Amino acid sequence: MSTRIENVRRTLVAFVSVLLASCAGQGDDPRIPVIETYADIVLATYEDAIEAARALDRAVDELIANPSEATLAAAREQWKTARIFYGYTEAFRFYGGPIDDDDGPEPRLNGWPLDENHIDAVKLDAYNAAPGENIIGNPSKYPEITPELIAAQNEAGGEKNIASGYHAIEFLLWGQDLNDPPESAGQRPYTDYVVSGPDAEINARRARYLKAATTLLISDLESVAVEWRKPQAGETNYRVSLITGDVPTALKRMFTGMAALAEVEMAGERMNVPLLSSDQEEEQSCFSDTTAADLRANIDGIAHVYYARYTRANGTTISGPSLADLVRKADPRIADEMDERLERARAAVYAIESPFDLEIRADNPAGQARVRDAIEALRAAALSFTRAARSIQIFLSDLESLGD
Amino acid sequence: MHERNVFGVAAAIALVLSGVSGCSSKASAPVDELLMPRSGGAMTTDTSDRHAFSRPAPNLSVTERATFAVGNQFFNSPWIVAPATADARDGLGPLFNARSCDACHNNDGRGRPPEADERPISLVVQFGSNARGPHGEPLGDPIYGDNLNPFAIGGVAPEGSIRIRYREIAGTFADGEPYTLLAPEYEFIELAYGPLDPNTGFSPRVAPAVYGVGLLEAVPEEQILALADPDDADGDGISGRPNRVWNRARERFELGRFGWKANQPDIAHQTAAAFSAEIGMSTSLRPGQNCTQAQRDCLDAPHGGEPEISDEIFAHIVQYQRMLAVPARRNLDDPKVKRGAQLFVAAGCAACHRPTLVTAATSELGAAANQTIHPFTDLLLHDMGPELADSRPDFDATPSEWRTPPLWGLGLQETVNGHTRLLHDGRARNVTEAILWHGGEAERAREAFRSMSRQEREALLAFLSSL
Repeated sequence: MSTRIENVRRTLVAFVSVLLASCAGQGDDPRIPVIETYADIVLATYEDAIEAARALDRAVDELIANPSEATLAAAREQWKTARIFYGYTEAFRFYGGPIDDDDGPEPRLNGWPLDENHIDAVKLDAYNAAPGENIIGNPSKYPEITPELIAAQNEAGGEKNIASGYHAIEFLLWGQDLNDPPESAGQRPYTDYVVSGPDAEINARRARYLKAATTLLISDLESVAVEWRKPQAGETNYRVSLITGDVPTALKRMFTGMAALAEVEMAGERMNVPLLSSDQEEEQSCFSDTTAADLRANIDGIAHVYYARYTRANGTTISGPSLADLVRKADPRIADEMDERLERARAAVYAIESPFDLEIRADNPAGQARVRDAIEALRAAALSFTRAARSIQIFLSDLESLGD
Repeated sequence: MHERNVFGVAAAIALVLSGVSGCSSKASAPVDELLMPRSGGAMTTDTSDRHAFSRPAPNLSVTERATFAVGNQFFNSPWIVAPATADARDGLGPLFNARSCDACHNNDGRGRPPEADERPISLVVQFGSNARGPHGEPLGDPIYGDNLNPFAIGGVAPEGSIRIRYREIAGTFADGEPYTLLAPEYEFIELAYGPLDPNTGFSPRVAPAVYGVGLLEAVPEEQILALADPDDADGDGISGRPNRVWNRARERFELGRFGWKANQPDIAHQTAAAFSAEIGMSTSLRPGQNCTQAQRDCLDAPHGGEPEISDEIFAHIVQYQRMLAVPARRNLDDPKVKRGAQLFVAAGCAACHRPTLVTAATSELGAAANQTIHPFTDLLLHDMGPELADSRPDFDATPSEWRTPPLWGLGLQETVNGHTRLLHDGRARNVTEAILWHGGEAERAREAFRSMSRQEREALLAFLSSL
């Protein structure tokens, strides 16, 4: 992040003159307040995600200092809360912004599927012999477990090897979900963090991994938030460039984030892939079985962007001129269609029951039908986003390759 | 109008080509065919940014697009160590080169050799010898198996790595301008299971691009065989031999079309082979773990079921590749590009890099049927000379024979993959070097290029970048 800021500073002088010129020309453009409100909502959501991650980090400190059923349950609750705020922020992805530009932290924060075997020992299963080595269990290869180590492991070998982020923390709090009984989530015992007896060293290393993961989570979220804050006088960042840059480009990014989340990520990767693979654990939050809550947060995050209205964790509401306002002014029919389809998508996603991994099972036709219905509703909403964007002369490119 | 220009250039080149006409029947593709904008027919995409190799064909149905999205997810995501909670995705290794398809075929494009001090990922070293399996397939090394796996899951030793040293070879164009080529020399290092067998030969190969394979698969076998001229009956110096390879599913010999040696009959075989040898994921086509009997830890390691990739998921991954579009041509109005096209024909390049093929009326994928395409390949094997030869016969392919690689999309490789490395082992740092490495049957074409003026060479390169 620091190099990014330095790069930006270097071009500052040139930038300020552009900024002054564009302010003069765009003063009355009603679209600019829409972009400003968007930036405010993005920032507020990341600030809430950071606050929730800090609360999770404190609960992890408690768990490590004083392992018990109660401290483990409290840490799990904080993870669930933190995950919801992150779920809102996923509507700010898919256009190469601070979260997922070339050096953005998205893969470290939200990588999936987690390589749990690479992190910690797992239970033997029917056809397997002893599981292999892992970071927690191998002090000679990985003497110090630090945020830097797990960040490096996440991309070990020049490619993806997911070892950090929300799902790593989830795994360390819940453990593997062995579906015994089928409706249960992972059942890691709090004693995995008790530093005494024969497992004292391993348990201490597991605690260090967990703490390193929450520490990295906070710093990664912070690296994104800094790009959305109002910078000090004389400095700039992503927020400034978005608000003062080309207006159609900014609006296109806002639409792209929503439409890609709805169609490619939610309908495609998170729902259709599990349905087609018919595997019970083909779900994002497979250790905690909270995938249904993830999906709800995602669809809510889309509504926050389109209607420019977000009620923060502290109860205050941020709102202002919205994309919905621009579309309604341009074409009330499209605006109605958008409202209707977003509401249908919201209802269909909320109808998916928890745990998600039971909904997708082949022996649950009603659950599969609910998931299919949500997929259809999300695809319809994404199509309407394309039309709504077109009504204000924003042309979305095809979304399929955004995942490549 | 084009004809006159062609002959103007061809006359100059014909002098170099020992006085014989440079244009045989095979070499004389009309230049217009080289300037067609829709390289993949209806499966052409107008995207020319870093997603240019990753787009679904525009003529897919809504249902097919959903299949594409699912396959894309599995192509990009890492496979994970077993036993894992997400058990549709576990079974990585025990020995492997990469965790995902995308790690090597990045953005569905081309791989490259490792930098100094980097473990090879998108370059795989395959092993073999003169000993063959029952269907003529290479047998691999008795200890290390099909290829070198520089990575392994915990508890299993990675097989080793390679160090590449490049020897500089100086040369000059006919106009006196100097150039330097890099000849790779390989050293096996950190070999964990003892030395390689003394009879083991090897073949380093970078990951080829994936886009357009659905169209190449749909070209009728007879059409490709008709281009073959194994004994050079027409005397143009270009032979062109089909590889005959074993189809495990149909249990019969078929034309090989995919891979640097055309050693795989279809996309499914190519994909299953890579899953087995390079990611360590088993499929119905390639069951079992990629361990030799000498690798006990590998054999005893946890696996992810049998097969590790279900038939359903595997089918999605294969279909995804079939559905990838080919990028449209760019800058076709540039006079330099037009001139380059004429030079391409005159130098004899089009004798192997065939501009046009036509797909069959029916195909595994409806969108790929009945398309006139411009891949710039004949999918045949050609002797490329001793400098490019490996030491591993592959079915009917001798060490010096290589399949003509398709050239479509070539001009976007740097945009998509961030490098310009070319040829089977990535030794060429750019298109010029790749041409200058052509030997054997392609020597005359190379010499024609070497004899061109600087302006002509630039025109040829402009043409190649329009692909």
